[in-house]
Amino acid sequence: MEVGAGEFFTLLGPSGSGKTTSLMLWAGFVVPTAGRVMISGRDVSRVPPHHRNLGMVFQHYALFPHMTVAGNVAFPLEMRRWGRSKIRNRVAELLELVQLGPFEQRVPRHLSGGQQQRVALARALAALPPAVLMDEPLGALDRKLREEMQTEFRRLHRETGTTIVYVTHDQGEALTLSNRIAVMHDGRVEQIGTPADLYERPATRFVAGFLGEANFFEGEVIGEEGGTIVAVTAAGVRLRVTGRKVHGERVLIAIRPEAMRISTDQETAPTSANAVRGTLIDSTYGGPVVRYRVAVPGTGDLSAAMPSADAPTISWGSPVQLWWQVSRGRFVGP
Amino acid sequence: MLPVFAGIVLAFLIIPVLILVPVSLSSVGYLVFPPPGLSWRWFHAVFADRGWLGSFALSLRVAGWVALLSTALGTGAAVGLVRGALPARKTIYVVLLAPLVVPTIITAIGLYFVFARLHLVGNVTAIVLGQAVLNVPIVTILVAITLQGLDPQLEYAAEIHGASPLRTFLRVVLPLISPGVVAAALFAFLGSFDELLVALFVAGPLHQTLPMRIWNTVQFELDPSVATVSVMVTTLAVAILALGAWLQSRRPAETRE
Amino acid sequence: MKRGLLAIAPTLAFLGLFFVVPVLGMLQRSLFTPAFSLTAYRDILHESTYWIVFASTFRIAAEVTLVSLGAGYPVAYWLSGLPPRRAHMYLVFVAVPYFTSVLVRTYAWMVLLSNDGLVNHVLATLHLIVHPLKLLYNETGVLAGMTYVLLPYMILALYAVMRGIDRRLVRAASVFGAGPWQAFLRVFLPLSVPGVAGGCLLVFVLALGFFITPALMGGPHQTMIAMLIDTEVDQLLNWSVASALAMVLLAITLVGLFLYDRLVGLETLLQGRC
Repeated sequence: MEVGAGEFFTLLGPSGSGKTTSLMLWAGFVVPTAGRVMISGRDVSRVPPHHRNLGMVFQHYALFPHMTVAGNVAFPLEMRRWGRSKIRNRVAELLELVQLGPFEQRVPRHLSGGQQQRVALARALAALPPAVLMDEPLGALDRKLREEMQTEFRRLHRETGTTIVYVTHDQGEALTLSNRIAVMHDGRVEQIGTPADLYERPATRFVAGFLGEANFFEGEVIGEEGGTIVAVTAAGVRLRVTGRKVHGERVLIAIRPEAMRISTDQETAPTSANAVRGTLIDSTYGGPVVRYRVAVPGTGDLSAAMPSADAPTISWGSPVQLWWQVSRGRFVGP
Repeated sequence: MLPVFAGIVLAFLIIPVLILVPVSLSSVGYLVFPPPGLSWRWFHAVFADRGWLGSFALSLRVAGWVALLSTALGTGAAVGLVRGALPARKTIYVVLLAPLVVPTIITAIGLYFVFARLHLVGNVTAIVLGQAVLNVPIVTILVAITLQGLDPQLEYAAEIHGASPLRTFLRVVLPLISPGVVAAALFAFLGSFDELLVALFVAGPLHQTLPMRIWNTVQFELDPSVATVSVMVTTLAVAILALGAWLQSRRPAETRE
Repeated sequence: MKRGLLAIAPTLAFLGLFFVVPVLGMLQRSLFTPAFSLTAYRDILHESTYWIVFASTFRIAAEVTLVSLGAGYPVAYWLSGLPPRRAHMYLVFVAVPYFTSVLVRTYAWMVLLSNDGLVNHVLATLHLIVHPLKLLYNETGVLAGMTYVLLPYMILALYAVMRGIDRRLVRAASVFGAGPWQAFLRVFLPLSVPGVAGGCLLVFVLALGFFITPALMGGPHQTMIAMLIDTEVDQLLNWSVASALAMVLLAITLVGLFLYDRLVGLETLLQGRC
């Protein structure tokens, strides 16, 4: 993996996917058994954490309880033997940045979670590190606070231009904050790309299913038609998908629910679309969208989501047709 | 019925030592309870006796050194055990706790043989070293317990922001576990102050710690001066215990979530 | 890991030098006089003097264990039934004697049991005796003194196990018709057996190694192994025999503690210190 200077790079994945371990590798708390860790072009694989000049923010803040806010923020600077007045100025500057100026002499015990996390951020930024590592820093905060802090992080990233490596399991957070995301699963990187890349062009089944929802079809390629590949599933559903595949290859196709259209059986789908027939088993009103679940014999349950304004009212148990534009379907890896 | 019995037994555990107080204030020269009259004469006698004062001073000196040595060694051991991911932990535990478990007479005589070879018998250093052995286990246990209550992420935070392992220990870990460390030091002090067997074998003819003097006196006579000394020693012990317990109750400010 | 080793190395070296070496030294002394020979051990096993001392030691240790059990079981039972906070408060009473000097505690008993001491005084005042009872320098004295020192261990060991016994089981028994005694005998008592075994084992093993109390409060028939070892070193200068005796005592102690760890677990002893 490579993170560019000034990037907001996120490691996204479920627990146990290896994202925190990767962060620890960069921090220097874990030594690689193979491969190298490089920072600013320097091989630091064997360099201990305190010589890597990084900053780090932890999920539970890890503020030093026996020091004031100022003391905490000044810590990295004292370790690097900055002069006293230089430290004082820098601390004041940082506390201004995170909007905690008046809290300089407070003790962490007397701060709220959000305030503590901001102190932790100020501490991480103090010594002007080339990169700041963040290990699920918003995990301990409630939703509203989390959203506020996300805005904070974006602002600070813009204002300081520091490289940030961020670890989270929350895909919404990842999509909101990042320049690029690495999706991890079972210790491997599944795909790296911008949020749009990952969402609209997922490379694997896991990525498609982890970032948002997806419907999947498993099938075999039987031929070509008008520039598109034709595949057929075990249930006999015939699909056309854009892409390049070999005859006889086993393929996996993903379609986002919002790409699907639902209608009662009477209407027919456009010829440029793929279609399946099934029975509506559930529909939920979700504010901006209405979500439908359709049972398709031989394929399983599929999800569709349509903007509420266009969403037809269909009674449960009715036979329906789902269709989508060929171009919206994608091949994904296993 | 049951609480009464339990109460009696618990009282039984406390009372004998309390008995010594009136005895130490007895006006007569032989051990009788209840004493026919009260007087400070035995306290005066003890304070005027150069032998008792000398032993008291020696015990204080030795206990101070033992406290320092065992605390340093025990804290190091605790840090290694709790944060060190050491191999063969079980074996190390056994070695560290063994002095608590092996009958003291054996440790004392074993040390005597070794120190005799090294010509250290009769040297105050020998007493300090021997008693430190007996106290390292308890210090290790107490500091380890305190250390386990400390969030390890604090150490990560210190290191990533530029603190070497040593500086992390000095600036972050030690200040936060200091109540436990001081409490452990106090217990080590007390342990040494009360210790008899190692001192008996290793102190040589010229030095008598306070327990040694009590031991020697008690063999020949049961006069109230020993009671007086005992009361003083026990009061000191209780004061130190209370101090230690109070310090232990002030756990590190940041405990793991 | 390297850091951990660095932190603990001085301590291990210290203990290695000043504990392991001395103990191994004694082992060596018991086996090499100076050539390798088992005479020291043979002497111990053959001479009746030693057997008598072994017998006294085991006898006294057994007596102390029984008395401690009798006094400690009800106390531990009561404590384990209390809410934890109150129990901890009373446990302080149990634990405090731990830290006052054994010497002082023994001496206090000598004062209590002497001919002019409290016990005789009370008994005389109540007109239960005419002449003072000889309670010191005999088995009674040693029993009293040693029980006093070892009772806290018994109580803590029993308490640790009893704390884990679900009282609702006893209540359930009474729901099914058992009287309070029956419920106790058939439900609680069997469940407390590991604690009983553990406590007895612990007290017995610790009693075997006692020196100060029996030396001060016992008569010639109360000579215990530790005292014998001391005599052999100090007066008889029989270092190899002393070492052999020490090794035997050590072996028994280690076996006993190993069994205790299996039955109850050595961590239970730490509860008293916290």
